[in-house]
Amino acid sequence: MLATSGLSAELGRMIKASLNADNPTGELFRWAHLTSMSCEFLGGDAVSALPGGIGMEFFALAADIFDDIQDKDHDELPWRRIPEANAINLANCLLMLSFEAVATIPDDRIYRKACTALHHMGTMASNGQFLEFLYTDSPEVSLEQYFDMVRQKSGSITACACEMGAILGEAPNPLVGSMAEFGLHFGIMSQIRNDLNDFLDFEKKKDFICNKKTLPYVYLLHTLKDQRAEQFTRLTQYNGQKSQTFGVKEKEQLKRIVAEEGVVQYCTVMFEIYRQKAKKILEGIPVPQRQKEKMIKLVG
Amino acid sequence: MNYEGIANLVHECVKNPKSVLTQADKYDKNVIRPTELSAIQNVFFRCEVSGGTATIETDPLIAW
Repeated sequence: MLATSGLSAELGRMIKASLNADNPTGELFRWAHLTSMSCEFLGGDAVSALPGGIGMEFFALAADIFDDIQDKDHDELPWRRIPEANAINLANCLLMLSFEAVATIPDDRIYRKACTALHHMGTMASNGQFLEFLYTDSPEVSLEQYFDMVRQKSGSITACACEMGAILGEAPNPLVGSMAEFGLHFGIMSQIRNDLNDFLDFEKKKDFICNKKTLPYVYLLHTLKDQRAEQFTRLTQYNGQKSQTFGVKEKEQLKRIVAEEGVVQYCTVMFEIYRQKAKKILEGIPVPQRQKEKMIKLVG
Repeated sequence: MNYEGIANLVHECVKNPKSVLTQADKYDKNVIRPTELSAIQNVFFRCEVSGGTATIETDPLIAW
């Protein structure tokens, strides 16, 4: 597809270098994999899921690039080592390639459904990103607002991959809906895990000093009282340009708050609740047990 | 889902694990559903077994 798309050699090379660049687990093309797994889960053929899988892969990479530009982190990744304007061009090109990939679906009826799912996901994910940025400057964000934002920002993308797989597997509409719901919960689980892992990773991530409203942050905003709340508020005021003043002492204070106020326990509880929801959906889908095993293993 | 209710209960459990979990019945089922309460209890049980730490078991997600 890249060879026939008429792209310059430079942009083609940049896309190849970016695909799978942010892949700490070593599994290649995980978005395409999730799409094809969902298709096979409902009895479809993995080959017929390819246009959707490739479309998801391009779309998710574009979303990652936009996210990193917004958050100004992951400086080591290929798209962060080129000028920001060109990183935006790269992400825009990937979005278009995503729609080109989906346009190769031969059946018009299936194509229309897949295209609708992709557009809907794009709208939701953009809205989620918009809210996330908006909340950064807001001193008060509720847990409900956080989960609503995460549903849109992260859940919508995994929901679309699973929905796309079901559509390309020609599953009936109720099962397509169930797979989208499963994907939504799966995406929220992934976001909870990332939020917790990144919260104290001051080397690679700027979540805390940039006042990004991650789950640990919003939980602490909600539960801390009196002196602890005041201490936390003081720590949140080292943002943006003042990041150099968020030193060893402040990092230790934040680590102590995390340990003593139950941040890990709370994130684990929420992860577990969404895991149970995801698992329940899979268990309720009427397909043979052997077809379920891979998907159930995905959520544990 | 009552996000605030769950957060408050987890925070209470962190501050006073035993008394809160033994009085689980006092929680209004409309605020904390039985499945959610069970998730909280499981996390704190694992926390107790592992000597005070709880971590998200991410193996399945790491494989993805």
